[in-house]
Amino acid sequence: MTMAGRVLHAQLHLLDRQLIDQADGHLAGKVDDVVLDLDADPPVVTALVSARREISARRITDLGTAVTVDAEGLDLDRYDDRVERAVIDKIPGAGHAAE
Amino acid sequence: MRLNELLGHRVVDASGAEVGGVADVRLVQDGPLLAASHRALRVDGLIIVEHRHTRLFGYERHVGPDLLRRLVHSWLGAVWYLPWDHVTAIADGTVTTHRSRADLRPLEDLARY
Amino acid sequence: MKKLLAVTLGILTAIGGFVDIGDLVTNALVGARFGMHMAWVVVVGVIGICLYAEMSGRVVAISGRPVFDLIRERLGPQTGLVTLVASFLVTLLTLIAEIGGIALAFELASGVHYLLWMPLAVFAVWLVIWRVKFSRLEQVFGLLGLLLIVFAVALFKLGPDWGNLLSQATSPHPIGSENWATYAYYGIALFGAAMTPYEVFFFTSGGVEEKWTRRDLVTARTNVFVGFPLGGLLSLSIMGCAAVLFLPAGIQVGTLGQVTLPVAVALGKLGLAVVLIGVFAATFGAALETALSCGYTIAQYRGWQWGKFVRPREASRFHVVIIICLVLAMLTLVTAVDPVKVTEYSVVFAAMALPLTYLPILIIANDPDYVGANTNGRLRNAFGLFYLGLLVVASLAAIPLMILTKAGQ
Repeated sequence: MTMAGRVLHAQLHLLDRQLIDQADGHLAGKVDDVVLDLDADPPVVTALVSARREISARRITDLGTAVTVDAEGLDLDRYDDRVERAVIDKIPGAGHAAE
Repeated sequence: MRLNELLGHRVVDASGAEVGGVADVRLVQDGPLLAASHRALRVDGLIIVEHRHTRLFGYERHVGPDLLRRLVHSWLGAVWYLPWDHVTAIADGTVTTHRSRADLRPLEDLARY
Repeated sequence: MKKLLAVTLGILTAIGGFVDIGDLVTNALVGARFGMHMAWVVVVGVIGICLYAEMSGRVVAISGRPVFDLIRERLGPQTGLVTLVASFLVTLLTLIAEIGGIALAFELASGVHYLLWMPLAVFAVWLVIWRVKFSRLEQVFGLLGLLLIVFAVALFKLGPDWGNLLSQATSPHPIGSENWATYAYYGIALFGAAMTPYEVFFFTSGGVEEKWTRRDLVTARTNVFVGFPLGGLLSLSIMGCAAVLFLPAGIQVGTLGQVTLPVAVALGKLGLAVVLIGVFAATFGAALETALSCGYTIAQYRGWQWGKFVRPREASRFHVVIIICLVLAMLTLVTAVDPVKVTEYSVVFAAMALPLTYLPILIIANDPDYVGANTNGRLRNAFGLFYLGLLVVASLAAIPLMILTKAGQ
């Protein structure tokens, strides 16, 4: 987000976009909603919402065809991890790259 | 307020007449500094469509194909831009403006980007 | 060789669209009932899928976004969900048929009943998805599927009256006891199969798996313009063989054994062996394509990590969806439902999914945010709109025609 003064349309450019975790490049959900603070001066976007978690606007590191965020400590992978522990990790080869 | 709630709000002009609905929110990245080089996305105004559809498919930006764009526009009716300082109140699913419908600027008048 | 290997994604994708188990039978059935009077539909289908696969390949190479991302971004969560449900069901029904098809190919080769082969087929498909690298999977099954070229060889060997075949192909109308309703029904089935939505899901997700960038635009295009016409050619050869052998004799085609018969007649035992390997590879390839696409669509709609480019544990939900789909396929086939008949009903769901899948591709291929300066030109847009119209007509007519003709009987 270095381009100051850039124009975006909230629904077109933010809503339903893919979230990417900046740390490892993993896909981290979709932007399900956008939180606006309309009483602030000036009114601003304060957060994105994904899988009922709020991601502060401060965490947005890039806005392109996907939205890259600093997801540290947000645990956006929690459902994937649950499935991983319950099923996938029990199958041999789950932690190996394909050959 | 959540964006999904705001989209689809009715828009009412100074005379109390319904103008259309909120289809999108125009943001400009020149708000207060968030981090070292990040500026907040400031709400610059609302994109209003006459027939209260909430999906523009990106066609407010004049991308092709022409025929499809014309089809979408005829289905949406007029598309206006309501700058944030023309918004008087947002309450009960309704956005009120102190301007009259005749004074609304078509979105097209805005510089394309 | 390297160039040849670079187009295997396109070949494998096209095999799933043109010569998977449902199409193998449909092509032969159409050839036996209508001769080459419906060949033009395959040509129309090849042009349509080339057009849209090229657009979606361009979008994925430049922006990195596969097709279901585009669907959700432009149609939103609600309409996106309708598209997801419809296209997921087409893909799942096709997967069920492919698993049956693999088992049927083994039955033809071994004489052992196909239901006994079925659990083995499911396990093999899963194991390949779980362990084998995407590029290897694509190369092995793409290239082996090319053995189906044997149908073209067989057609030459049968020594048909080429003038007659050509005159059939240039007069598009029903013949004999057939009427316009059945003609239109099979026309839509062939067209729908050529443009079946999982082709673009698999092709663009494959582009991400292969880590395409802007520099791979040429690779993406070559894949499209080599893969799909080749698929169409295989499809026409199968139709031609049936038109030469079955149409004059008035034989109806309904089984996989009959589909391969012209090759056995023309080329003997060796030909039969080659065609069986080809059928196995094509159905196995199509099973991989549809099983992966089941996972791709749901994961991309929800934003989950997907793909074979990460370890399975990093894309747990994606792999669990695939496992569930394979189990569902097995449970469905255990009821002894005819695998070939299963794909016929997928037409219903394809009808809903087709326009909703291709509309976002057309819009986004015009959007500089995604493709920079490489937006569609006037000609591509004109063709794109024409095909979108065709897809809408096909989708509106599919279900009434299915009821009217009792699924083509």
